[in-house]
Amino acid sequence: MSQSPELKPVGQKLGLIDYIKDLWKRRFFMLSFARARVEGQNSNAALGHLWLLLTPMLTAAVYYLLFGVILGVSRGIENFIAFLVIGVMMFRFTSISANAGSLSIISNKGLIRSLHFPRALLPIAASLQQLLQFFPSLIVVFVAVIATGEPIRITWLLIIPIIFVQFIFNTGLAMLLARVVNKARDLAKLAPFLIRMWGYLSGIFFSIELSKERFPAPIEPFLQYNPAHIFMQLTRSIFIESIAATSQDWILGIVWALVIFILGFWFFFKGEGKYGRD
Amino acid sequence: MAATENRTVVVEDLHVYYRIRTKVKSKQITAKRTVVDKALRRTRKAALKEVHALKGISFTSNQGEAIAIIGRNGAGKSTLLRAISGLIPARSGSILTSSQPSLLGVNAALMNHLSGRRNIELGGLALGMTPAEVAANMDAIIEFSGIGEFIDLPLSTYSSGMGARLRFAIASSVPQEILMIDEALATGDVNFKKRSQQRILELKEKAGTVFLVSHSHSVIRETCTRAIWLDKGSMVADGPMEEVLSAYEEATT
Repeated sequence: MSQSPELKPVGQKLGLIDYIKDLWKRRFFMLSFARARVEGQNSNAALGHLWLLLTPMLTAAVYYLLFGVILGVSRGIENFIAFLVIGVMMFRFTSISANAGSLSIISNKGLIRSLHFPRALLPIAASLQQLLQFFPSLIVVFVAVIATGEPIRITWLLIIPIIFVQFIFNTGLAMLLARVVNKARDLAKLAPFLIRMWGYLSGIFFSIELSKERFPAPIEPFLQYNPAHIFMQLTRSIFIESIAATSQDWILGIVWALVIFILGFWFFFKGEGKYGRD
Repeated sequence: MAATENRTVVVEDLHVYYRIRTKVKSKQITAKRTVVDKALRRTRKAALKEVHALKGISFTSNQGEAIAIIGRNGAGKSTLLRAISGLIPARSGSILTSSQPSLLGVNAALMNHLSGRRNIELGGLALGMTPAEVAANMDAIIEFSGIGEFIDLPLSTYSSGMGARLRFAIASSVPQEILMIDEALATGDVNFKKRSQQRILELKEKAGTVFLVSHSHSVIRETCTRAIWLDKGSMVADGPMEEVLSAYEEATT
């Protein structure tokens, strides 16, 4: 009995192009999923979505109390409050996306085991969810900047491309971590500490530019050219008059975002078929 | 005269293993060991364990068949459906299908804090509908589920029967050539049971082949034409529904 021609093996891996096409077809689900997750985020708290605003505010307040008031590291930094608030918010944007992305595969096993879709949808949706949740943090930034007397400038609009570029970067990171953590679960516990360390080294509460002499010369470029620092610095430059960014900073930020996104996507794609297996 | 062009799924000598992470305490741990020793030992014991879930399954399904997969808990029924739909890889053997089989596994996509209506939207998109298709099907899905005015309340306020009805209504709203239903009909009142059996028959007409995992023998009797009996990962019997089901009933009671 001959094999009938239309029968095909199931579960074949898609090529890269078909994978991207399939992902694009699922964009509505991705968006709906991310939005639904935002809505569920605070559904069991009495203050509900107010926490989207309160959490970044309280985070900034803790940092200010520690570093601004108790340790007094504000030396030499003009408008330390705006400097700190921007640093905290912009880093938080990346760190929360990275954490959510790292868990996106292992916490959605049920979904992976019962429905067909390109799995990259999950880390991307996790990053998208954090983007949607980031907007209240932006309100905190605006309040801090206006309250400390910075003039309102047209360049403030540049926050839109900065957030977009950083979102691309975050999404790449989310995809990278999603596969790594799926393989080595213990990293899910370790990653938050590494990310926090990264944040502290990126100059959330001190100016890398002003404290150059404190660091050994060889590590200085790592601090300065690290993407988290660049995104912070770009944001500060548009809101705080005394801080300037060069076109090199802009290019670096965009290059970082593209490199990490492409690398993350490729790395995640290579692991397709291994997700949700155990 | 089994015409080859009517075949929808051909499974040959299928073996499936899955791995589970175990954290089984070792029996060797005695009271003498220190806390540190125990912790280390437990870490070592948290190893991957392989389970041979399907042991050489072979069968061929044809258009117009509704096949019940029966067997005790842990027999490998859900694993078989997932392997056929490509969600779990086969260790060896082959699975050929005439089109991508789809599992009515919408449950995992739904969220408790969302209203029934939002869940229909989310579930529909998860199953691959476009937003326009979701909108076009919305009223029919609500109508079929029989949820009524509860449709705008969160899923968490639904009774288990209402939840099951909504899931089935969403999942079965997408016509598929090869359809697999895993325990969707266990709950629901008599009225809904009738409607859902009717829906399965309709899907069978449109779909070509329906696979159904169910512990409800009455549902199987009214909807299926053929049954496959699994036990501990092996096939015990495959044949006309009534024959296999009666043999299974005799063996289990």
